[in-house]
Amino acid sequence: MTTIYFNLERDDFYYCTPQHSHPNNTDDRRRVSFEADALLVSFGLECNTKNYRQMIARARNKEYTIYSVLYDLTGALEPQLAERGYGEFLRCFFADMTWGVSRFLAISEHTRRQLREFCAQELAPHPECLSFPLGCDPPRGQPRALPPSLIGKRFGLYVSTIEARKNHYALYRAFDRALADRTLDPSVHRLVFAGKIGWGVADLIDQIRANPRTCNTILFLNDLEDDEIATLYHHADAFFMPSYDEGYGLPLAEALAVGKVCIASPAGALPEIGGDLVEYVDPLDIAGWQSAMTRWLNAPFDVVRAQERLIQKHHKPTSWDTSADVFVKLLLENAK
Amino acid sequence: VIYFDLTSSACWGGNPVGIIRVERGLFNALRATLEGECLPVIYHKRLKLFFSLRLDILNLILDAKAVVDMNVSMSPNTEAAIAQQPSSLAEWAALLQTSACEARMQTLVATNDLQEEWRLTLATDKTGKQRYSVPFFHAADAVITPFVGDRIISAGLDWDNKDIPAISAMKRLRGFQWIQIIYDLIPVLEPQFVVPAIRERIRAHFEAVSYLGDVFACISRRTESDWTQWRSGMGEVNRATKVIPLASEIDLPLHSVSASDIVPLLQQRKYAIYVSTIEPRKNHRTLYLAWKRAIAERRIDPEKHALLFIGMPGWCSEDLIDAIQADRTLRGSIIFCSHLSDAELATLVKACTLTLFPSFYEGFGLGLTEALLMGKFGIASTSGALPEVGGNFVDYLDPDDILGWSTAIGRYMNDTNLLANKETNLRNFQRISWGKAAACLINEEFQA
Repeated sequence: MTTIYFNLERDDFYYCTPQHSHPNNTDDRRRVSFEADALLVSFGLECNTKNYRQMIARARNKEYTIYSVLYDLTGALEPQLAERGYGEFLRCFFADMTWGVSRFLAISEHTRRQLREFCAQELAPHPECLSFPLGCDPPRGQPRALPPSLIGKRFGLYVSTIEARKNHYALYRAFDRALADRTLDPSVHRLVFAGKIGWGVADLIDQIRANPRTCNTILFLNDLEDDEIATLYHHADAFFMPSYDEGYGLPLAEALAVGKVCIASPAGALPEIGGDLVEYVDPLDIAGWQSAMTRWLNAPFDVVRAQERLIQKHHKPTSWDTSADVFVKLLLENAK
Repeated sequence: VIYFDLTSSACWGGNPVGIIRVERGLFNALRATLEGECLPVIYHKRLKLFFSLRLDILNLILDAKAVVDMNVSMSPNTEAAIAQQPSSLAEWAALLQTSACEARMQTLVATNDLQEEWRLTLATDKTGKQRYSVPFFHAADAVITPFVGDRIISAGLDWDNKDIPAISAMKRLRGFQWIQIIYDLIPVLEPQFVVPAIRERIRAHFEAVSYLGDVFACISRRTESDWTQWRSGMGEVNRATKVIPLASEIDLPLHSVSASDIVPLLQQRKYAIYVSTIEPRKNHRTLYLAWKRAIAERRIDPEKHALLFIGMPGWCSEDLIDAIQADRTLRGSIIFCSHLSDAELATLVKACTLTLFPSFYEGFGLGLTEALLMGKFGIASTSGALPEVGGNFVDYLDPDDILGWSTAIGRYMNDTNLLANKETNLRNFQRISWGKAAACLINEEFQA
């Protein structure tokens, strides 16, 4: 397999060689001339880094065959969950890609289903689509001391960018209600949102920070290093993931790899990852989230630890080696 | 004498919000009962004085045909005197004299002006209505000097229009009674539902008013219990509270007009409506998510059903509005409309299938009573005073129970028999008059 890159200024592919590692250092001797049966494997979001229309046109001229990894089509199908205006852009991009890509390699069965739905909706050709599992290593880094605001507290954790699709709203409502009806205790319990602040959540964050019950009990932690994330996973009493949609759901895989009690929404690919080791709650069922939250944050420590041991015993994480093996097999499999 | 403060109504441009309607409704009813013993007054924040309102201007204000311009020009000496914060009651009395003298002079000039010619200018407000802009000293008559035994009733948006510490000082000096209408306790109990820029100001205002008032007239039992709880939490001995019911009279015109921009959008679909400013407390999010889920589960068909959000976009709702507008699964079935005339609103309410009120908190819920009086069945949230207002005539759901709302909306939008039964039941819904509200306010007051 040869690694090449696309130079956006010159609209063409170049070989990556150590001596010419800088993308702008282009040299026509390094320009790729594709052999007749060349297979171009794409891992990226081509709309940001390539003149993808030209790339697709060349594939249609049979200069090469494109296989493309497909993460998710959520932004194209549910533009309200993407950054403002970006959803429409993604919709056009994926619709174009279906005309030039010969095989999609989806990161989950859910993404495969999304492609089917998308192609039907857009009246686009439906290229072959196979799925492979992503690998997941337990979060790297050595657990360190907790931040002072969490010492001696029991807390639920959600690791994720804070954006509309991730549905932090459900956790906020559930936690606020539990504090209001005193099933959770503001001197003991915390909810931790670890992740960068993204789009479409300014109003939610304002509500959380202005609400006297949640302003000091829901903590926003961002710019965390691997060690710090590992620490949070290690000390959390439960991990919550109420997303509306996920092509995969890496944080859930990580939380399971550490053996945490996980409550997730049954949306997107989350059930593929969580299997029956995760408790599922509808992303709109605020009372359901509240009940799961109060149950696990109030559970005696030995009950939590027993559940964690059970998860550690039964969870079979996919290694990156396994993932790569399956992926290569899919690449080499003859087109049907 | 009972002085009724109409400052908010006098300064209000645009369509009346609930508080303005209450202020006008209560005043009209009190004046009808008490005649000359109930005097309309207006407060000037810089002069720190109450003035009686000229009767001709009063009528324009009550008909929403005039807005009082609070800008006054004062002599530099008065300006300087007023700017100083008095440190004793004696100083305070002197200051009142200065400011009252100035006001008397200005009123005199204004009165002479008025005798010469009617100098009001017509201006078009943001809703397209023409209103007179009335200079303050054309509207204000004499300075009011309330004494022991007099009462001042305030039902307005006082955090904008009043200098509460100054009124407290005046009260200590003169010993009158202050009766405050309390709508809700949102600014102190749920500050996240208040416009961010004024959260702190309104909270401080509540604190100040809680020491100024002698009687707190709450618009629902819920508001009264929140008030008592808050005050006892602050370690205060119980001060007099009472509950006055708000009237459910509607002054919406009965003739129909075509809401020309909206009707084509509806394309003869059956629709549900939510009439309310779009702000976090009103919880449009629950309706959006419930509606979206109902479409996904085919209980709602965007070709046959629509959901109307009628009201101005308020604060902290941009993310939600963006999401609804970008959401393709809705297929245009959630429609926003604002700046409707009363007639257009009435037309849309009369033709709707279902009304919805998912608020996280309401001190009362005028919109709900209006819908019920128009014979429209509704689903309301269990929060705040909505259950007091709707009684057995409404279905109730937890404001966070998105799935429950989704099921209920789907059921009522499709089951015409079920809906017809509920609407028949509405004939028993009792309307409350402003007269009754006013009687509650003053009768018990006289007994107290």
